[in-house]
Amino acid sequence: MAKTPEPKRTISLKPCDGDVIEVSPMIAKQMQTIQSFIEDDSFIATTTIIPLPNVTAFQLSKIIDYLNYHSNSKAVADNVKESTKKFDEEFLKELEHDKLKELLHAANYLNVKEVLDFLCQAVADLIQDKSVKFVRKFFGVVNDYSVEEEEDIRRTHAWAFEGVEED
Amino acid sequence: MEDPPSSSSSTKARASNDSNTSIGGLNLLNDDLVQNILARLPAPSFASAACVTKSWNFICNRILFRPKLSTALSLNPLLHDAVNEVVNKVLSEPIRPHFAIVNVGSGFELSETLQLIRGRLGFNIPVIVSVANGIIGSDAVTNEFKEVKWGVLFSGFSGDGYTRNINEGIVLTVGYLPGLKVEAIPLVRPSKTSQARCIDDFVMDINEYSASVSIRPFPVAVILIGEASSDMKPVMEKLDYAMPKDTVIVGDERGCFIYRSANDSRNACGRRGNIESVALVFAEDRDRISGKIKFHVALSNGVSAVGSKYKTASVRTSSTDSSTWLTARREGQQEHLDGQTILHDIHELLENLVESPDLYIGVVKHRKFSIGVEKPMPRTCIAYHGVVGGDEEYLYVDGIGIRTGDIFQFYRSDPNSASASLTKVHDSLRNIKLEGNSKTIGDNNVDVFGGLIFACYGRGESFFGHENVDSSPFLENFPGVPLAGIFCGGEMVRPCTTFFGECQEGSSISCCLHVYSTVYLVMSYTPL
Repeated sequence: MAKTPEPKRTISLKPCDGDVIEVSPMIAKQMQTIQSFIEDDSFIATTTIIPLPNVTAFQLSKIIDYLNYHSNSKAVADNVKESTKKFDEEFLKELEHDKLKELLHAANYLNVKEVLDFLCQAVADLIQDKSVKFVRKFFGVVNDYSVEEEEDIRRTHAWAFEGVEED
Repeated sequence: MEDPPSSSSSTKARASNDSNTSIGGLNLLNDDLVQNILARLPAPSFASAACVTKSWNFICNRILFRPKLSTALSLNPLLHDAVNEVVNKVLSEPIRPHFAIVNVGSGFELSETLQLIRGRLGFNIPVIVSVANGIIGSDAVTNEFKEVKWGVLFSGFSGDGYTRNINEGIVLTVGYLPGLKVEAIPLVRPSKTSQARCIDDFVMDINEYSASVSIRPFPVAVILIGEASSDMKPVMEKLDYAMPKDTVIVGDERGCFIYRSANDSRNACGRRGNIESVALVFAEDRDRISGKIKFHVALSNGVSAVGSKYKTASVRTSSTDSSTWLTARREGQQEHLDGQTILHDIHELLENLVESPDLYIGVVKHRKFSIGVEKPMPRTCIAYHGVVGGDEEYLYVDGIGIRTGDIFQFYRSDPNSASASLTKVHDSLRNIKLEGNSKTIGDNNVDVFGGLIFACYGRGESFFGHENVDSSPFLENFPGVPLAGIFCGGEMVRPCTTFFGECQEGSSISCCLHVYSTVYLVMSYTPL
């Protein structure tokens, strides 16, 4: 096939720390934010480096890991599903809460839907059945309800406060 | 309070979020990310998320600004496990329960079921638990859609000693209808009180409730569950007379129920509390401005007429077993016919049928109606009475309310006419979709968000020869939209402005209680 000098088949991404990371066009395509850089096919051939000032090397490599694994395992067979589940669990296990939130930001900045949805689900799973206090602390948000307002809103949703884990 | 989303409050919410950012130290998640996360929470955690901050409450309201119906079915034979399965499924997504309808097999104890459900869904919403002859819905665990019909026809007619099979299973329907208020209102009939007066009170109770929450003194919809042994014909006829044409009324005549209203401190059981019926009443909330929730109904007829018309010549009613003995003349003829002769003629006409159908007479009744002290108004309706038998004296039919001179005709259960009418229902349900899409553009499309089915116990797989036939018009038009239903002993629907499908005998005659039919209640939402 290759008659002319082969065009560069990867895209160079430069995180805010560390070295340039090369990714395949297939992976890069899933990052909506950098689409404007690569929409033009001829551009791929150039050696321009796309800077990502809001993403660390660690975050970028995690996101690429996730996309790589999942693009290779689209099959629906049970054993594939099983190993995908295992990969996802391992993926999350390595992330502390703060790292998870930062990664969520990175995924949001790059606008990678698949990773974003996965991480949002992971956060939802983490705060499920947790007390309101826990959730505030987890997200670092400050209660802006007055005592009366909070009593009122809790009364509106009273049915839901059975069986909630206390901190 | 829950505000409808608007751009100004959105900016406010974002501003307050920003101020939290600096205090929290961590780079905070923006509203879209929070929305993406909260929309994935199961209902109870979603509810507690609304208590975190004001901006989170705003985001929660934005996620849940449309009405929602959530349903699940379980055939787990253990009541506790079955309830857990359906509740967990129904609450697996954000929803705020406004009401619950629970249908169970006769093997599940009603008050225990009610207790378990209320423990999970909260103590201040109306809940009705009712026994059905079969349940329809999507399995809580496998998501497989099922129409389940149980063995022996459950019948309350023979009083306390009736036999019933032990049937275990439950289907739960939970609704969140912002813009509507929902309450359970009973038809109470103390012993030795005339039914007519109690029905008047019942109608007035429903309208009073509506007036107390709404700008209109009428509900938009009523789901009515009758106690097995009570005759719902007069109730439906009175409601049909009293309610404006855009009020939807559907239900099951033979329920056997227990219910709990939002504002009551005790359970009320149909069989023990002199309660003949309970109505789940949906009225517009005058304090809420949101999109429009609309109830549509459709009917699949399952009977066809046989033979000529008759005029009753003599009528005797037996109030002990609620049945009627009558003789008749063929219309336009003088000869006085007994039960045997009439039935002989009809059976001759049905000779060619392989399976002997169920027989009914459809009686056209010209009556006068009024509520309380109003001036009575004439009205014509048709009522079906099951044919019990005939001898050389009388034709025996169930139910009362037939008078001398009423015109009637025989009807038989007919799978072919049922199939044909299902096709029509299919088309008319599709029209709900098309009608909405043609009128509006973009996000303002009519959105069908749920459905309920009341199917005659005689239908189902044994009637059509395939499974899930009764559900198919809805499932094919609205795949993935929550649908639940029951097989019951008396499906009811009144003709109203949102009625789709054929109405028997022309529109001037009202028919509320049907036989061998399936009633569809379809809920749609149109944003403002």
